[in-house]
Amino acid sequence: MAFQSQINIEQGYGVPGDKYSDSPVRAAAYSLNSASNDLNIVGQTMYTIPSGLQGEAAAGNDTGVPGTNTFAGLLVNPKVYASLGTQADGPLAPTMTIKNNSVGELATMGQFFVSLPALANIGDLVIYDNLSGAIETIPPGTPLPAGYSFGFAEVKVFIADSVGDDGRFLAVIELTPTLVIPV
Amino acid sequence: MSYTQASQVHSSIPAGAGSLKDFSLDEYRSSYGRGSAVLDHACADLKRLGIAIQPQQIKEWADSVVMDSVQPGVTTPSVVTPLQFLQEFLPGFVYVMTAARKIDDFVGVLIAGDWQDEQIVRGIVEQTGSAELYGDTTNLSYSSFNNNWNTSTIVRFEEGLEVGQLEQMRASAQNLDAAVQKRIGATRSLEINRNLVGFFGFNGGLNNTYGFLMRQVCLLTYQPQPVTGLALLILKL
Repeated sequence: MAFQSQINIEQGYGVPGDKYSDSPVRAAAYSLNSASNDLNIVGQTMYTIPSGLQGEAAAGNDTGVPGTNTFAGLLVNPKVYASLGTQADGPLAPTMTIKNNSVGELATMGQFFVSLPALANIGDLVIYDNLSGAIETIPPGTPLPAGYSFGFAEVKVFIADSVGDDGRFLAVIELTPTLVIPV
Repeated sequence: MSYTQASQVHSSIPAGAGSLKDFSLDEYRSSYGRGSAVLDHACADLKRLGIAIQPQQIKEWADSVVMDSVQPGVTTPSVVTPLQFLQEFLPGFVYVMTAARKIDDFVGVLIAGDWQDEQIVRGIVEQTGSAELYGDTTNLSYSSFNNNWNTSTIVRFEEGLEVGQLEQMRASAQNLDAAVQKRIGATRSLEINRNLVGFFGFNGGLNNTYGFLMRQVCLLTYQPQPVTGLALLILKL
């Protein structure tokens, strides 16, 4: 990681996965059991409880049917996990990925910083890929695309020029637990 | 020193071993058959080399060692030393800087009023009066004054922090105090905002909170006024 080469006026806005505010929060600890270690990315992955297993959560929704698996939440709080670095750059490389079988904090309520893959607007709804759990957004009123489930969240803050080196955008989403009858 | 120093003897073969020759197992078998006599003779030869093994011991080993395949290692083959044993962490951290905040140097600091106040008020007063030509019997013209109130709205910001137990413990494991870092971040963000308001003002409509570079009433314009709120902060809820 390079040292600083540019002096900004303001501090960085936030870190994906961190709490944005002291709003009410509901979160639970799960043993992560995703299809791949690579899917467990803090601040950009949502989980469900597969096959009714208690205490375990997998990225995405392995049934592919929105609302079938119990929604477990967004992987948050990057400051409590042990960093394993990356295969490419070694153990000290910055990473947001944690391994399966570690305990992850999954939030179903609250305001959190996240990393979004594309431009969004305040009020957009947060959805996640059934296969990977990776979050995306759709404008309100847009039908849920095939292969996705609703993440029970909306974009609260979005800054278009907050794009990082990885091409992703820093945003704040507001998770709100909402009961949905399975379709 | 001598260059012809005799080498130290570390081991030797006893004189009685002179009659030894290479034996293959087949040669033993051809001489002594396939029974335990092979072992007996092999052990006798080994004993002459100074290696004392009882034939019965070898039979017991044969019962317990299977040698029909190569034994793989119990552990997974790996390069040996983990990187963490080969690292030297220098103490401390290099802090990321933000731009210098100079509003206090430019305009100074005046601490007045209360936090809960709504407005900063500056009175403007002007004097009136126009002197007339003098005459002993003329009426005296009067002077007067008029005053107005110029107001600026007090701008309040907030920033907090929360530190979890595990978060703090794990941060301290790398010699970083999570609470201290967050406290620095919170305090500095408030200072950054105060500095920005000082330079650029805060446009909340007609609140007239102008900054050092902004157009105070009747003063020169150095910077365009933010459209709404504080330009750099309006996106933060």
